[in-house]
Amino acid sequence: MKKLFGAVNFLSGLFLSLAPFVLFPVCDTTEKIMGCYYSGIFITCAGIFIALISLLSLFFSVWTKNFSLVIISAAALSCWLVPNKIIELGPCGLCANPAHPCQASTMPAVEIIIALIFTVCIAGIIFNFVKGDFSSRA
Amino acid sequence: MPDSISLSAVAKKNIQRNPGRSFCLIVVVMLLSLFLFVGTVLISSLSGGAASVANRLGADIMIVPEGFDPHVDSILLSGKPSTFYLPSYAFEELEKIKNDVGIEAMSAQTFLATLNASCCSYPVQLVGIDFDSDFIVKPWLEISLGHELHDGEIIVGYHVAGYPGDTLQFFSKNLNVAGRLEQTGMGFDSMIFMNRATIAVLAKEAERIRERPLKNDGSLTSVIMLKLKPGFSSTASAIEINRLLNNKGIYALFSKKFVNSISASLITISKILSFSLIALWLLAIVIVALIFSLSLSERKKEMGVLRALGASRGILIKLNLTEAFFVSFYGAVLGVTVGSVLITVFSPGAVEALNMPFLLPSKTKLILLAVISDFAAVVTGVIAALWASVKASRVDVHEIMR
Repeated sequence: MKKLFGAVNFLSGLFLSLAPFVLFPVCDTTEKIMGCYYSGIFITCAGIFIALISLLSLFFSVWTKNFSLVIISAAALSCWLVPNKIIELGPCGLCANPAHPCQASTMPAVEIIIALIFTVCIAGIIFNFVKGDFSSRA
Repeated sequence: MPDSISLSAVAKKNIQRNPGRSFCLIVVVMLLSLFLFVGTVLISSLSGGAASVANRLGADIMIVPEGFDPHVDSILLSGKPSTFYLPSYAFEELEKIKNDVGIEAMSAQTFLATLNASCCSYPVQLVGIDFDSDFIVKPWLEISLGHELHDGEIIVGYHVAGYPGDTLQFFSKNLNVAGRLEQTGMGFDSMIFMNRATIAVLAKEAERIRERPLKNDGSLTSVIMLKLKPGFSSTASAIEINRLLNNKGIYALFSKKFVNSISASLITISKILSFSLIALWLLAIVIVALIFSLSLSERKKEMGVLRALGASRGILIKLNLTEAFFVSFYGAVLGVTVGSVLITVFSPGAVEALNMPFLLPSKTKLILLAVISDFAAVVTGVIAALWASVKASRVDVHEIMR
């Protein structure tokens, strides 16, 4: 089961890293680089980070414990909080126009992936508890 | 006594022995505490928002252009940018009937919506305040600033990007950010305030950019806020103003109507939420009790063995309640954690989504609500397990061991 959670998070992390520039690209950069471009870079990095930790959890049981699930869910949530400027991070942001690609396609896809990762992490944390992995001892 | 046979160690082993059942129980308690916490915060935030509106709408009556009262609602509520102007004679007309309707003070405000210039800028509502006559915005604006706004200075709402010392450009004019407002939970959070001299300069620039006048008669007054003399009813005076100034393009809107309509919606939403929370609570009690009852029915032999080994009925009840406590505590903490995340993620867009003022409680109150929700969920879980535990402790050892 833990491997399944790891595999789902690994794939979700991969999709997350590919979303802003390959699968659901953010707005094209003109002479002016917009906030959504930097948000795209942030999401890509966070996606790679999630995929990496999830990959470790597939091979090393220590990475299946609660602390790694908390880190993964925090990284996933930051992909929503940073572009929406709830956490201000440099020039990261989104275009104000809802019809622009970053608002119309990138963020909806990213939100679905974030929700999936977050749900899997919560399920993983409960599973660790009922299976006897009390994270305080991890 | 070694740790391995302590009551809590046995309870933990029981939880791990049936992971499916424990998983379901934790999810049920988690959902209970999640909805309890989020629901309570939602009700509290809506009440806070409504109180904030009532406190800040210090005018008894607002004079707006005829047919524009819905615009005023959306400006006050969500800061939705809008540009409209009263006829230039509005102030004079009000002066004429001042004594008949009991007007004590009048103050004009100018609204100007900025342009959607590029993808990364979006229209915001600029508000010009007449600092000589203002009796509404000035008192709490001065708390943030400490002095009156000078020409070219602005104060930005809580949701507007810009910090003291920054320069923001509107209609090709650079304006200095003099301060930021505290969160109000209403349209003021998305507005930018300045004096009327500054907004007049911007309006001229706006006319040049748009290549047409904002208003044919040159009026730059969007709303006139009225304060009534003591003893005059805002409803009666508003009706009287509307009667006297009929067909002159002026409409008197009494502020309480706006606040009352918000309060009415708030009561309805609170009722729905409260009903849902009670229903969810009852459902959680029934589900947790049912799952525990089924689980303990399956474990009758185990209870019989424990009784045969010398465990008293009290020990068996304690054991089952400890198990219920662990499961409920874990679920409750997870529920409140997930609830906090949801509040962080969704509260910034709540005003637009709910179309109501929304002001999150203070951090201390939020922590208190989280602790209460946790406590309520844990108590619910333990109480729901009590009946099944008492029933299981009454096991007949001879009958079971035969």
